[in-house]
Amino acid sequence: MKLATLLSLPAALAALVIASTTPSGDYNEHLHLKPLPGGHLYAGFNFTATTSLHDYDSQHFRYFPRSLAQILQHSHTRELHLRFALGRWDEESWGSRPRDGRREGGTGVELWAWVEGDGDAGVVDERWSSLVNSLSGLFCASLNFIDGTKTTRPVLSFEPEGVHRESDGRLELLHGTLPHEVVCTENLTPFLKLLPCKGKAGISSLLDGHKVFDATWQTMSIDVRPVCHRTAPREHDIDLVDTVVSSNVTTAPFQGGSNITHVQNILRYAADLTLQSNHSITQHYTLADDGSYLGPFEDEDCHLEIQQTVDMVLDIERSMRPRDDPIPRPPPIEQLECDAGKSYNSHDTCYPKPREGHRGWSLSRVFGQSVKGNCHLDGDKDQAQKYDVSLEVPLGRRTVDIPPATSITQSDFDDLEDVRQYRLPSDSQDFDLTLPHQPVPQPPPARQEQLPPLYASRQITGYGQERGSMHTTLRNPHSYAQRVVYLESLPWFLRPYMHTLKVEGHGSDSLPRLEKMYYTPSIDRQRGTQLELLLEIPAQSTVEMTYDFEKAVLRYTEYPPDANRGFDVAPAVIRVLPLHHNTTTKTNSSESRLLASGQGQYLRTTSLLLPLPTPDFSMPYNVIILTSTVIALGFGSIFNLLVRQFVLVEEVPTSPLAEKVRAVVARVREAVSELRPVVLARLKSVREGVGSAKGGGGGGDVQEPMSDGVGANGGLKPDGKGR
Amino acid sequence: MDALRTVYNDHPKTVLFGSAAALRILLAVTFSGLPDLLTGRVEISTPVNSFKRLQEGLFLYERGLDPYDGGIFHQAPLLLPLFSLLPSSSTWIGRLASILLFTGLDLLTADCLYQIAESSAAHTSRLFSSPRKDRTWHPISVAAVYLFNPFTLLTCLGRPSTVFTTFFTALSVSHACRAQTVTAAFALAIASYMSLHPVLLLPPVGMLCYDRLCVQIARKAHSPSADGDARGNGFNGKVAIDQRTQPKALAFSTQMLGTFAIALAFLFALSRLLLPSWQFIPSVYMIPLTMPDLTPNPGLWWYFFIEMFDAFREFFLGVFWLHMLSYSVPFCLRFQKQPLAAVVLMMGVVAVFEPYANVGDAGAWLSCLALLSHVFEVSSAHRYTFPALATLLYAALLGPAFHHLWIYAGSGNANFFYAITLVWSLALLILLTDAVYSVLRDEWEAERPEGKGKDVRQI
Repeated sequence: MKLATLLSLPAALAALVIASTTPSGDYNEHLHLKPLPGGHLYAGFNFTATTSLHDYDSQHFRYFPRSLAQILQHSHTRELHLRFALGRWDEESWGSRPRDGRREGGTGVELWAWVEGDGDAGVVDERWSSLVNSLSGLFCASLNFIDGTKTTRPVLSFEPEGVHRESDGRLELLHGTLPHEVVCTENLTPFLKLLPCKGKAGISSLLDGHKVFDATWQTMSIDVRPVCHRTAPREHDIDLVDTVVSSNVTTAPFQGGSNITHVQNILRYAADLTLQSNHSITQHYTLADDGSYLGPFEDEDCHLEIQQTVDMVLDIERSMRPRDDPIPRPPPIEQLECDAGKSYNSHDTCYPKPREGHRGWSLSRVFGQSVKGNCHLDGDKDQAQKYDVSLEVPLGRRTVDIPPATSITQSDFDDLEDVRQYRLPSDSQDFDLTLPHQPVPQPPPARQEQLPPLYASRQITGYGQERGSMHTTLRNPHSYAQRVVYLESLPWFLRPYMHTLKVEGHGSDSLPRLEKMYYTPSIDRQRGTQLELLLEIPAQSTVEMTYDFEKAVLRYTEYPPDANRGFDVAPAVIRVLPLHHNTTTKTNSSESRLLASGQGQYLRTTSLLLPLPTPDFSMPYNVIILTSTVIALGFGSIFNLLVRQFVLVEEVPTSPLAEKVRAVVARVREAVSELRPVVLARLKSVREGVGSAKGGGGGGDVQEPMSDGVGANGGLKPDGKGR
Repeated sequence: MDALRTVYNDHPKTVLFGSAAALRILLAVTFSGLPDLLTGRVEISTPVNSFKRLQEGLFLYERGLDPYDGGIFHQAPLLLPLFSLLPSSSTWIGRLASILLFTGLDLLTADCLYQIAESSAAHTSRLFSSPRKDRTWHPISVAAVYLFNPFTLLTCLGRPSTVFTTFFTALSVSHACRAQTVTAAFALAIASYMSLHPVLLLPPVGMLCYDRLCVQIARKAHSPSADGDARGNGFNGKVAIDQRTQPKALAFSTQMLGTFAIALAFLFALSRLLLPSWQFIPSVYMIPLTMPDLTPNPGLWWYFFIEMFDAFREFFLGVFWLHMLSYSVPFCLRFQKQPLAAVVLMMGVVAVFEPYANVGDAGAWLSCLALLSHVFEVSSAHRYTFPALATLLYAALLGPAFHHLWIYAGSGNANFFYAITLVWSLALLILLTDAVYSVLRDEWEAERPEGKGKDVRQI
C-alpha cells in the first residue's frame, strides 16, 4: 500500500505536468455488432488512440502504448500493420468483408511496415530484423522467424495509409507472413495490455480468450500510422487535392516520385499501362484513406494513430453453450423439430427443421460476460457525439432490450436506418444487450453493396510429392470490370515455373488483361518467391490462373517435427483497386467518397498445405556408412589396380616374411628329424624294458594259446603278432 | 532386301545415322507426350541440366531479367540466345524443333566417336601398340552403340543440356585424336563452360593430343610422301620415335593451357555481354560445388547430403570433390601409354561420382567404352562384366518403380530409391574397375605375350 502510494506519486505528477502542458491525443473505442445469416454474429471491436508526433518524438505517452512506441522508434518504423488471424470469412453467405478487408490478415500472422532507410542497403534489413524480433517478444508470437526467406517487398499491393513527411527519408515497405503460426490467448493478452483500460473496463472487457478463439473467423490487427488532419474548409480542399494529384502524375513516372523504394530486379511485364492507371496508383500517396490532405503542413497538425481492432464471427449457438456443460450434445428427441416436408424412410429419422428467423442472444451470453463499466478517458466533453456500441439489424426487424439504466444513451435510430447506437453508462454499471428470438418470414435478399468485390479461391492441384500446380480462381460478380493486384509470396521450397503461367477468362466476351507482372524468383534458403500481378477482370466473369511448380527436397534438419503434415503456404493477398480512374475532373460528393476509400478493398485466400517429399529421418548414420562404403569400394579397387603390377601366378615372388617363417619351419623340421632316431631308440629301449616286465608278470592268461615263447621276446606288438 | 543390303554396304554411315535420326523423330512424333514425360524424370533431368528449367531461364531472359538471380536456372548463359531462336517449346512446332536440335547433337556426337574410333588412337600410341588391335570394333559399330543406346535415346528425347557437354567433350577428344591442339582445347573449354566437371578431362585430353602429335610427326618423318593419310592405316606396329623431332612437352602444355584459358575467358566475356551481371558465375559453377538443391538423381551425393549433419556438410563436400579430383592425375600417370583409355576412364569417373549424376552421362560413357572394344575379351574372361551389366539392367528397371513408390504411391520411403541408386552406382563402378583392369592387363600382355589367358596376381 505504501509502496503503491510512493510509486503513484511521481506518475501522477508526471501526468499532471503532461496534461497541463500539451494536449496529448485522445482515445475512443467502438463495438459494432451485426447478426449474419446462418446464425452467426459479427462483432467488430475498434480501439483508436492518438498522440501528437511531437509528444511521440519526445517520448510523452498517454494513450499510446509506450512499449510499442519504443520498438517503433528504435527500429525507425514509420507505419506498422500487424495481423493475427484464424479461420475463413465465408463470402458466399456473409457478403463483403468488414472494413473492406483492410483490417484483416491471412491465416497466421502477417506483418508489413514502412521502415526508414538511410541509403545503405543493409540498414533497412537490420531495422526490419530488429522490429520483428522485438514484436515477437511483445506479442508472444514467432515473429522472429520472419527472416529473409519470408520477407517480400511488394510493389503494388500496399500503400501507406498514413501521411509521411519528406524528412522521413527513404521509406521501404517490407512484408512478412507466418502462415503456420497458431494464434491463441497468449497473443490476445499482450494485445489487451496495449489498451488504456487493459481489458478491465469498457467494451474490451468482453474479450475473453475462450470466446475469441472459439470463433468461426477471427482477426486481430494493430495499425500505427501518422495522420495529419486538415483545418481548411472542405470544398476548397477538393481542389487542392486535385492539383496535388495532377502534379504528382506529371512528375512521377510510376512509383510516383514518392520516397517509397522498391526491390531491384523487378520484372515489368506487358507494360502497356496508360497514364490513367498511373494516376490511379500514384495519387494515393497523397491522400490518407480518411480523406485527410497531404500538403505543406506543420508538425502540430499531425498525430500518430494506433488502431487496434478485433473482428470476429461467432456461431451464436456455439457461443451460448452453458459454461458448465461445454460439450456439444445432440438435443433430446422431444426438443427436435423435424421437417415434415421431407419424406422419411422410417419413423425414427428426423431432418431438423431449419431455424426460422433469428435466434435470440445477448451480449452476456455470447461473450460470457457483460460490458463492465466504460472506458471514457477524455471526460464528458463530447458525450453526445460518441457512442460505444452500435448494432446493425435489418430495418424494423426486431426489438432490442437494454437494461433500464438511465445513464445509457441511445441514438435516435430513425435517422440511420438500421443502425442503433448506444453509449456505455458513465457510472461503472454493467451493460448488456438482449435480442429476443424473433421469427422473420424470409431473409431479405442480399443487396448490391453487400456483394463482395470479388470471390477468390486458390488450390494446389496435381498429385504426388514431386510437382504440382497452383490454381487460382477469381470471380467478378459485378457488372463492371475491376482491376486487381494479386500478390503471392511463396516459400523457397516451392519452385514455380513462371513460363507455365496461364491466365484464362470464362463467362465474358472480353478477355482478362494481364497488365503487369512483378516477379522475384526465389533463391534456395535465402529468399522466397514474390509474384505480383496487375489484372483486369471483365464484368461478370471468372479468371483462372495456373502455373506449375516443383517441390524441393530439403535437408533432413530443415523439416519440422511433423514433417509429413506438410508446409503452410501463405495466403494470396488480393487488392481490388478503386473504380475512380476514369473520372478525374469531377469534384462531386461521390467522387470524394471514392477518393476517400482510395486504398481499395482487400481480400485474402485461405492458406495452403504443401506436402513435400520426406527422407527417412532415422538413418543418417546408415546413409553415411553405405554411401561411403560404395565410394571406398570404387576408390579402393581402382587404386589397387593402378598402383600394383601384374605377374604370372608361378612367378609370384615370395614375401620375405613367408621365407623367414619357412626357414624357421625347416629348421624345426630338421631338428626334429635329427632327434627322431635318438628318440626312437630311447623309446624302444624303454618299451623293451616294460614288455619284459609285463611278459614275466601278468601276461599269462592273455597269451595262453601262444605260449611258445613268442610273448617273451615280442612284447612290443603283442596284438599284431598274435593274430 | 538385297537393295537395302547393297545400300547399307555402300553407305553404312548414312544408313545408320539416318535410321537413328528417324527413330528419334518418330518416337517424338508418335508419342507426343513422351518428350515432356522424360523431361520430368529425375533420372534424366537434374537441377543443372533440366530442359524445363532452361525454359524458365529463357522466360526470364527474354523479359530482360537476370535469370541467374534465382534458384531455378543454373545452366550456361550462351544456351539462352541459342534457345531463344527456337519457337516456344510449349507448341508442337517448338517441341519438334528442340527434338531436331538434340537429334542433330546426338548425330554429331556419334560422328565424333566414329572419327575417334577410326583414328586407331585406342590401341596404338607413341609408346604402345596393343596385341589385340585386330579385335577392335568397326567405327560404324561404335557409332551405332552410341546412337542406339537406350540411355542415350531417352536422354535425347528428355533434352537436358548435358547433351551439349557430351558433344563438346567428344568433339574435343576427336580433335585431340587428330592432333589439333587448339580446336581440342577450345572444344573442351566450351564443355567445361557448359558444366564444370569436363575440366577434369584436361590432363588426359592434353596427354592424348600430345601423343597423337608425336605419332603424326613420326609418321611424317617415315613417309614424307604420304602425309595425306595420317590416319595410319599402314602402321601396325609401334611407331619409331625420334627424340629429336618430338615436340617439346612444356611448349605443348603451355599452348594447350593457354588456349583453354583464353577460350574460357572469351566465353565468360561473351556471357557477360548478354547478361546484366556476373551473377551467373556463382549460379552456374558454385551449385555443383555446394549442392544446395537436393533433388533426387541417380548419383551418390543427394541422399548423402540430405542426411548429412549440418556441422559436417562442408567437410564432406570437400572430401567428395577431392575424391573426384584425385583420379585425374593418377590415370594420366598410369595410362601414359594409352591416353585415350585415360580419357574414357576419366569420363567414367565423372559419370559415376558427379554431384548431379544423370543417366545421360552414364549412357554416353557406356557408349564410349566401345572405343576400348579391343580389350573387352579380357574383362569378360577375367572379371565381373556380366554380373555388372545384369545389375545395371536391374537398377535401370527398378529405379523408376522405386521412385514411383516413394513419391507417388507413398507405399515406399526414400530409402527405396536411395538403395537403387547405390546399386546403379555400384554396377557402374564395377564396370569402371573392369575397364581399368582390362586396359592394364592388355598393356602388360604386350610386354609378356606368354601371359595371355593365364592367371595373374598383382603385387
